[in-house]
Amino acid sequence: MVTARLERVKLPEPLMRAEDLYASGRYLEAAGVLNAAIERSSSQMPERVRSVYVERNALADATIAECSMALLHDPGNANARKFLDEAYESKVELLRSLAG
Amino acid sequence: MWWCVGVGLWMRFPSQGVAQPVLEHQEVTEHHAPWEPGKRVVIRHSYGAIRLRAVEEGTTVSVRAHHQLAGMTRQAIQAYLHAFRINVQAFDDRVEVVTIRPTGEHKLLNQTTVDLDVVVPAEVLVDLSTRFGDLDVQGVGELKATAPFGAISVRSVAGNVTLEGKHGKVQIHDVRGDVRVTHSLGDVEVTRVEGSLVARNQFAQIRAQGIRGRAVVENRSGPITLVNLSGGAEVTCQHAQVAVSRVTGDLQVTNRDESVAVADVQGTVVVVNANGPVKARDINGDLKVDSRFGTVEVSQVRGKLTVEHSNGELSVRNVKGPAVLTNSHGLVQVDGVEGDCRIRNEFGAVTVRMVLGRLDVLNAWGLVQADLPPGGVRPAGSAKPAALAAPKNGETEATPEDAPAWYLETNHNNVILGVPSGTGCTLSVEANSGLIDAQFPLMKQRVGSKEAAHGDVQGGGMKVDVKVDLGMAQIQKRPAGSTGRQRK
Repeated sequence: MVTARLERVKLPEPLMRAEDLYASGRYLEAAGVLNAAIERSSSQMPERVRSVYVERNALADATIAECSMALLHDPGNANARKFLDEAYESKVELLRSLAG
Repeated sequence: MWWCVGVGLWMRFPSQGVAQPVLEHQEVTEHHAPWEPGKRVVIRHSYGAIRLRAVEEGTTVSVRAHHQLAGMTRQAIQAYLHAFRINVQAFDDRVEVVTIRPTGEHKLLNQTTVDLDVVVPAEVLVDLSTRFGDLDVQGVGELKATAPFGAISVRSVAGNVTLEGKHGKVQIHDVRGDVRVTHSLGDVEVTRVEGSLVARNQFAQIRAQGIRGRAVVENRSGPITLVNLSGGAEVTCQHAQVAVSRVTGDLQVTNRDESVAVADVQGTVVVVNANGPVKARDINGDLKVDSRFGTVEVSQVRGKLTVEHSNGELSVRNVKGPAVLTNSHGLVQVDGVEGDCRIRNEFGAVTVRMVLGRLDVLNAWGLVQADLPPGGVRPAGSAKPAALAAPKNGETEATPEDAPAWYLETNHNNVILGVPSGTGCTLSVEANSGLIDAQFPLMKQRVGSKEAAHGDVQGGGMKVDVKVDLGMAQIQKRPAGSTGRQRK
């Protein structure tokens, strides 16, 4: 799935880096790369709008942390994999929507 | 007690991208404990789904555990299975189902998921949790459940349901008691609840239908859709659409950045919105709308209508009771108010048709256009109606006897009054720095820049006062039977 994402479009640099990390199982590092990009992109937003992005992004971070930990215990757990992927995708979408 | 009844199934698969093959093992174990009336059932699980069913006149709690393991070596899988425990035990007040996983990381294992099929007596209260697995419950007496990483499906519960989720879709159907659900990132769908509903979500939708008790629904950035609520509702959202219809009881809706649509309510409705359109129709009670930006569209209100708006078009149709309408930077269109009507605007036109009660319009910079209804307004009451009770700033309130039935004023624009053929009124018109243009014979008087006119129009009747500070007052004929509405 990650490979398919890479082939689909030419991605901006932080996304490329995050995708590489994610594909190699370094989920938290991938999230960190996206967080830095999200932080940069949202710094100019009005606080009222930004707070929604921040909250949504924080939920995704928490999910990535919990699911990646769960996959250490049960690597084949379908739910942990599914929600990890969803959380990561939501961060990518956040970044994309911030970039306009 | 527990024992294994399943025969282990071993299969060998090539692992993806890894030279070493992966062994898969499936096994079913069964576990039982006796249950007595009054005891609850507590289930604690972590990695895997729970399917819970209830049977009438049951006396045991039964668990079938479906072990799905995959790993590099048969020894690793067997060691894990050997250390894995499912405890099903009866205590004084409860029967417990607890899964205990071997501690530490199991690097030679690719999967250690265990799904549970649990059967309990029908009337039992169940308290359960699983972390990474779906939850499917049917027919228990009462349910309290936590499943943060999985879909939740609950059906046919005799008592209350309390759910705490986070991800995954939540579906709850046919509950005789109250429902409380707290969620974050998955859709919540609730139908047919005999008791009350409290539903909270953050970034996904909430849909509810057929709630007999009161509904309290809160969302942050997910839409809310509610239909068939018999006990009223309190709805709060921030950044998504809210649609509520077919409500019996009072309804309060608060939103911030998206639309609110309310329809078919038997009760009082209060809508507060900041940056989105508001639509309300078929309200069989009072309606109050407090809005800042966006259009407000109201139709078919049987009680009193109050709108506090500021930046957008306000359209009102078919109100049986009185209406108090305030706007600042937007058009105000009124078509059909049977009670008294009070309108305040600052920078937008006000057009009024078919107001059958008393009318009081004050605009600062916008046009005021109002047509008398054919036959004139209904007889004024003995006391000044509540809708007109608030005096304008700096003015003393007129006594009921000398108060006009209609009062139209604008400061920096025109007033156009339409009088249908056959409808009489007693007019008093004043233009401080402007003109009076009347299609009826009136007694006119000009002193300096100030012009005044008065007289009975078409035989006289209801008292109508028109006042323009800087602009024109136009009194125009309308055809007989004209409602002022444009024909299609």
